[in-house]
Amino acid sequence: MPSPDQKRAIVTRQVSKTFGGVKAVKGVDLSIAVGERRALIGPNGAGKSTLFNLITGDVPVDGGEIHVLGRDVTRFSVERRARLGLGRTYQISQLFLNLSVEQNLFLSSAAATGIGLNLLSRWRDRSEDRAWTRDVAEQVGLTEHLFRPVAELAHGLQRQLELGMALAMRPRLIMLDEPAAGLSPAERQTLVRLIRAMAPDITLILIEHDMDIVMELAQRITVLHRGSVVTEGTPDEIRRDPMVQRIYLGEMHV
Amino acid sequence: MTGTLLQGSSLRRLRLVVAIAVVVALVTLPAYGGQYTLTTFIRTFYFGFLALSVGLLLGQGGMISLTQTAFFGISGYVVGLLGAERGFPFPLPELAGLALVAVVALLFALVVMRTHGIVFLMLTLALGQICWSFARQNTSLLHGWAGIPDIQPPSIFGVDLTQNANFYWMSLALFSLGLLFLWRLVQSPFGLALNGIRESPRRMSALGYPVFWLRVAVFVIAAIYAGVGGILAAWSSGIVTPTALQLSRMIWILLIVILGGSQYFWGPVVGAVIAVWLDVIVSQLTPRYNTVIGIVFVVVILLAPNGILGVWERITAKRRALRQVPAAPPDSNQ
Repeated sequence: MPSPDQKRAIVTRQVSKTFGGVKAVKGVDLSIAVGERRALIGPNGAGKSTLFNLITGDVPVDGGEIHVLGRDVTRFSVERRARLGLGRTYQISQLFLNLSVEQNLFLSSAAATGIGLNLLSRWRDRSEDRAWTRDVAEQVGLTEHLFRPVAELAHGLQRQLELGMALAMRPRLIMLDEPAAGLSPAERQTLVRLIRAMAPDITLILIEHDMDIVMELAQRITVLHRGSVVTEGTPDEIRRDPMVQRIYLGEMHV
Repeated sequence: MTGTLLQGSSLRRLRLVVAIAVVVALVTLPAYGGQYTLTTFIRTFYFGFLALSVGLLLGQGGMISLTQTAFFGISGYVVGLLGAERGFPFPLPELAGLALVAVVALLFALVVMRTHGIVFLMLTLALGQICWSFARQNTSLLHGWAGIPDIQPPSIFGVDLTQNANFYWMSLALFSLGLLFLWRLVQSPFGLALNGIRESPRRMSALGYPVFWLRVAVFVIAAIYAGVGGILAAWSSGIVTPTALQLSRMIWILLIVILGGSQYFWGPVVGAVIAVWLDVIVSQLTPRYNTVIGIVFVVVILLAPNGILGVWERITAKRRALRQVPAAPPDSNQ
């Protein structure tokens, strides 16, 4: 039985959510250790995205409890959960399209350091945030695009910036929602390399349809089906599990 | 390469020269401009404050608010009630007016700032209309359509503002201060956070920003800009009536902000200058000036969805591109 101790990044207990009579998530128990790399997989409609949104606070739970880094956040807003160090990316990019890459990353960085109440200070004078912004840009391979408006970036670079946005806020745990969606094989490799290079103390939770990426990144995999956890295990265990093959891998023709 | 550099710096020098010329022309205007010209500029300044208010919310925060003329009216009414009717000396009525504007804006913001898009638009419309109806129908305090007359601009530090030239200089100084503060504000982390909210409020929440409170804060700041404009308008015209809060004026201001270019810092200013002068000039030529001005708005917005400054940017960007293309090959050879 999972306990909400300090070593756990995420603990959910009997979390459920119903949308218009459809039980999207049914009594899910999760326990994810600090620093763990965990993937959530399952066929479409399995409840992965809903579970994700319940953890981030985008969608309120109908029942159950959610603990993040030892705090009960069940009733916390998205903003309060973020301030605990919960970073996320979006399946469909939520970037500031008319701002530059630097301004995007700066806003993420300053979210953690605080924008301050001085309305007459200049953001350009915040040298520590800007130095960190440049570090993150380098980390996600965007150094040469720092001053370009995001709207001008190619899709692959925008996905890299999605990751950068989650990293720049100095998260303690990061949730990636289909980070490789719409990427070419070469771009996928770049992204996997960038995610692997993340600091080991950052907990990672990943939803991804690309099984190669899941197997490469995850230490443990949770399989969801029709809103419930079917099984959980290491990539090898999951790959060998006949039930998983039947309900999921079979459908995906892997 | 030296050619383009020179051109770049000469463009900058040209811009500086133009800016200085404009400042000198504005400051010395009372020496050569007639009373009518001065009054029209004063109108530009007080409607300019209202345009800055709308422009701050729309351009920086991505919010179309239809409440801003209410704040313009509220401060005007307080100045009329406390100053003209009850004889409180400057700056008490004015400060009370701005304080009331801030309080009302805060209350309104608490209601509307959890909403976005069309719901936000409709709520701000409703709140603006409530204020307008109250001003129109309250006869005991606000005298309904008659409004509050006999408002006089005060003397500040011995400068008599009933003198048109003095009033003009004071408005110019105040408007410059308002612009300067706004100029700094849009470059602050707070200003950037507003841009973030304009682009993606959802992402801003996910980063941990208190999106609701940031929006509340900018709404109050924008309301104070409208309130300052309202005080100048009340002083200048000598009367405050429900017309100050009217929806048609709110729409007019919104149009001039879009006309100038809402996403540009100078957009509301350019829009206000053009719209106020267009009003003056066209109304001398034809009694159907509203029709003419309406057509001008339609044409400009159809041809230039990013406003006049958008057109300007396109022209200068094109010119820059044209200049750079032939300059590139000799560069790469050196």
